[in-house]
Amino acid sequence: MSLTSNIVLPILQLIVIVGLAPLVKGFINKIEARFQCRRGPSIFQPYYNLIKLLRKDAVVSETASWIFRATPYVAFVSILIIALLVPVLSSCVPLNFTGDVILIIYLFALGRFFLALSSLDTASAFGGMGGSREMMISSMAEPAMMLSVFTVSLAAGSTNLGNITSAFLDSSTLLLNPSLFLAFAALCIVIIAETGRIPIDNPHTHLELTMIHEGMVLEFSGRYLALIEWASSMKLLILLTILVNTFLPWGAASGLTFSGLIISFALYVVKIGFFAFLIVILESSFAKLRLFRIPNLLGTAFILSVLAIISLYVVG
Amino acid sequence: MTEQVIVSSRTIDILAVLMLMMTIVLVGTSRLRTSIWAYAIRSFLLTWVSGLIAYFSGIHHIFIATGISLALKVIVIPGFLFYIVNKTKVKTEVESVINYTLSLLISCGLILIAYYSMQSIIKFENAFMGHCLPVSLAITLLGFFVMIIRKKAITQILGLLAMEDGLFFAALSTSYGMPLIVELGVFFDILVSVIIMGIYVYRIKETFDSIDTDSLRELKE
Amino acid sequence: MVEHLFIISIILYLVGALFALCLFKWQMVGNYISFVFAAIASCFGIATAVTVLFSGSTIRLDFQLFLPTIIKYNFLLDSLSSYFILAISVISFVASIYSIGYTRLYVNKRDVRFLGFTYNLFLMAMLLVVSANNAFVFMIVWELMTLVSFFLVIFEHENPTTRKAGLVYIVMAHIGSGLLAIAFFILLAYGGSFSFDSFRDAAAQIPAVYKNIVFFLIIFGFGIKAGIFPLHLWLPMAHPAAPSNISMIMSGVMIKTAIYGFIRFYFEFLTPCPPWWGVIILIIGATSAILGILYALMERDIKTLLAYSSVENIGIILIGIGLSMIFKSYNQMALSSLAMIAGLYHLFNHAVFKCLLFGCAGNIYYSTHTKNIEELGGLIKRMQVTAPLFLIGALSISAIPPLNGFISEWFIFQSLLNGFNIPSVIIKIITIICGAVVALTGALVATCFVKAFGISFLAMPRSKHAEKAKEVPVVMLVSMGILAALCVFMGLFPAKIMMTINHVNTQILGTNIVKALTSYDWLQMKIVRTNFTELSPKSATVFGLILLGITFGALTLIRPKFIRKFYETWTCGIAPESRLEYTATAFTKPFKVVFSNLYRPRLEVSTTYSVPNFFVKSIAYVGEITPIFERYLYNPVSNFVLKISDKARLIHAGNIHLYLAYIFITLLILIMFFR
Repeated sequence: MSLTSNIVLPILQLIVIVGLAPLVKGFINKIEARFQCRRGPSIFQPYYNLIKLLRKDAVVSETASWIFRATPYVAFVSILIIALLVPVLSSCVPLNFTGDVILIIYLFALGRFFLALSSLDTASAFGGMGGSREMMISSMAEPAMMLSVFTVSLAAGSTNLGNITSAFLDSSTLLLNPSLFLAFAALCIVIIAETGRIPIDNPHTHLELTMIHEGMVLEFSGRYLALIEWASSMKLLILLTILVNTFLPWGAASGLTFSGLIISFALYVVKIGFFAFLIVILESSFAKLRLFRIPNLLGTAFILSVLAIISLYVVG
Repeated sequence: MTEQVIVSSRTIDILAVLMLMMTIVLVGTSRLRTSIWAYAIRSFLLTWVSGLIAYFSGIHHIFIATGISLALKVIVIPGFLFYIVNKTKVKTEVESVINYTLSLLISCGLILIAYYSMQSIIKFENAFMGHCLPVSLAITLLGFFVMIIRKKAITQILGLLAMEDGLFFAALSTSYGMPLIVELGVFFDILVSVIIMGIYVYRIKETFDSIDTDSLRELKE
Repeated sequence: MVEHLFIISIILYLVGALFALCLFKWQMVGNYISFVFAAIASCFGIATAVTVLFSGSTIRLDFQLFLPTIIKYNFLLDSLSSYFILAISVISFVASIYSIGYTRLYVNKRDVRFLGFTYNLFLMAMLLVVSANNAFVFMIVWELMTLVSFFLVIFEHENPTTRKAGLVYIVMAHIGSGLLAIAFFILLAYGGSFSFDSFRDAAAQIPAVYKNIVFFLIIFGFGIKAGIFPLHLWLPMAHPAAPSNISMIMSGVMIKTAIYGFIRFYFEFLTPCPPWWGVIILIIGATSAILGILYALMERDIKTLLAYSSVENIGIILIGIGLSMIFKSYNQMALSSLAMIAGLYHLFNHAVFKCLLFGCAGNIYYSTHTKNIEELGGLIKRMQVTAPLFLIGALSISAIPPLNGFISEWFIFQSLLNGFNIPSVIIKIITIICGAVVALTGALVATCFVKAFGISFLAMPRSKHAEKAKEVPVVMLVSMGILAALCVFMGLFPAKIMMTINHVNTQILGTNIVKALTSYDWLQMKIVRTNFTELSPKSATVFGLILLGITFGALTLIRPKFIRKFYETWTCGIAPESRLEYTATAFTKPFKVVFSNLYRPRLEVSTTYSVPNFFVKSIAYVGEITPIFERYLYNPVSNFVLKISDKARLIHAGNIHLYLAYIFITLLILIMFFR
């Protein structure tokens, strides 16, 4: 591995994640609108929104402190660090040594910690409500997430996402493991919970009492809101990327050749598009769950993940 | 082992695990229709497995069993159940004796027990189709558990069907060399479905009776 | 040389204690002098520990002061005890500086001399506990530690809850000591003397039955001190009752002496241990972790919350220790060392951040005179230094990278993941369930500290106390700053701490894996690695800062003249006031509902009307959770004991002839028995 690829690849990863994230959101919104027989906004609408917001001044609550102003940066940068650690186009991640999937999970927790704090910072009851619910859902999702990650790591022999991808790329039958199947199912539920999609949370809601993630960011405006929106769409893309490159790694380049990267980029876009489409189908065919039914769903995810790892231990 | 054998045994394993997931849905869901759907999908997976096994072993009896169970379990019984749910207009919410989180945790424990108690046999069988036995035991246990905790008759029957599926699957995966047992399984299958019909008729009658008396009382007042 | 450092440190503590008593006229001066002496003494303690750890030597100190034939004052400074001395001394150094400021709260109101005296004795006793090399001496200093800390707990003794806390503490601590004494006597029977050396030699000869008995005695004996579930009862009562500088030490290091006891016994006196011992420790750890944090979540008193969180952290440390024991019984020494590093790393981390958090809670109490977070709020604008310090503590304890809590959490996960190396399937399954429990615990801790920080420091003040809050004296802030810096340092440079723990491993496990655990990446930065992966918190931080810079630069380029306009929060048309804020109870309400099986919440809403059924005058809302352990475990036991003692009172007739008869009968029985 040469020094150039060590420098080029992380920058490429960053550009893909940062650049494509709003597009995924736009794509989901567009298809969803189509499902509802609407024309829907342009697929590039999230970009227009972000540009507009970034050019605006911000209105900040008097009661808010520096925590409130720091939160967007923390949330945004923590996601950017994760973008460096996730295999996007190539199974080789030069910054692998920085950390593994456990670091990634806890970096998500960093952003969430600050978002929940800022939700309390403005002294508005809606913010606190959103923050409290978000913390509940993420706590319930955590064990399932950790166990499914454990399953994948044990099957691949590493907790580093880059190594996991290359391990699965090398051996085709390794992925044909029922345990990984269970882990995949559990991870899907967890990702829906983490990114606040239906049936856990409704990202399009405008009713304060039903808001979870949106409730937390209710008070942000201008540049701050742009950063948080961007961060949350990047979170969705990163989680989908992890899912795609762990369970469907085929086509990811293993080195740094131009043609290989082009092919893997094309395949990557197709795979992400497929999962985004699945999300659309899910969101269009289900209603939001009652808040206290959510632990049941996440409990199911937990059982699946326990089952995944136990069957890996017992059967192999 | 050849590549093909590995792939096919892994496929069967994955199908088995999917069947288990459908059974977990039966425990975890609060909706009657979802649980009937889960049953139908699980039966479909089961016939798929038995079809695969029939194809690889080339035993004709299993083909017959597959055909029967496809017709019976995937089409007739779920259709019949949907019909009854529509007909009797029971509330679609499932009522449970203990709350969902707890029942999910208990079923998690049951699955653990199933896997744990089967581990010595799996080791002996050299990890070929290793998931089948524990999964079939787990499905049986979960079916039993559902019968214990659910109040509605239909969900109890779904539990019974889950038990039966588990037993059928166990017989299928361990002893496809012995067609007699598989056929016995199919016989048992039919038997169970007859029992179901019996219970159903009884329950429906009971339900209609009670509705009748209610309306009669209303008339009187 | 080293022994002199140690002795000087002990003498300085004694001198500090005596000074506090002598200068009774000038409370302030006596106060300063005793705490300064304690701080200097702890510097010597640090020096001792560092020298012993890095020279790898073992220092013996044997005195024969009075009654030389009966009591031998044996002390041993090896790597294990030095590691604990290091933790104790670092914390006591910081706490002593903090106390200089904090005790101003009590000057001329209470007997500060007594505080200084007991404080110094307490620190000395802890040092001696971890260095004693003789069961007899150990029991004496253990008791000294318990007694002195009891006096510190009931320092604010006019408060009845404080007195009750003290009573519960001393009773439970003595039950623990009693069990320890029995364990020591069993070991004595096989070792032949009270010296720990003879215990070590006798390890192989003890029959399995007695080993198991000692194992359980130790779990209960030290477990009470450590505050494991369900023996934790005293901990959330006593720690909040004590003054904050004492809570810092009690929560930070005193409960860790019990962990020291666990390691001493299980890795030295009772080796080789069967795997199920480790499993029991693991399960106890996981239970304490999850239940501790679940109760902390419901707490509104900030110090009780921190005390429950100590229970949780002890649980996590025990998970590390338990795993280490399991791996050791299967003779997987490298993994055993990894788990030990996880446990001991977390031990030090917890000492640092819990001390920091208790200190900040002390700051809050110092300036607002309340510990109830529902009465706080808006402190971030009034206590501008305490707030970031508390935030650092909260982030560390929630295992947020790049602070120190994350590193030990990461090590715990790595060792749990390595559980697949264990041959037994059932133990594998247990390690995995523990992994899930640790993950859930981690998320709940984050929630708990979002609540603790968010409600007490952010938004608007909820009471007069909080409105009038002012920043505390600089001394207190400086000492907290040291701890915060330690949190960051230990998060960014884990290899340094691992090297220190490695010395302990070399001694008790005979392994040296620090080389295998560190390597260099292509940027030539030192990274931590296991057989699964690598971690470099330093480079993650550097990348984060670079990306932050880029983000900031880009945003400035896009809109150079960015301004913020300040308006009041939109609260649907009502003027925002503190009553509209989310409260701590509301924040954790979803958890109360989800875990209602455990909490068994009780709700009472009573409405009073000025005009019946129409105009509401006031609504009273009482919500509380059932203390299950107290109600279903402790109350029956204490009732039973009370009943028995009621019966036993019949023997005390008050008649001297009867008493003589008792003695006579006892004598007769003894003669018959030992004829």
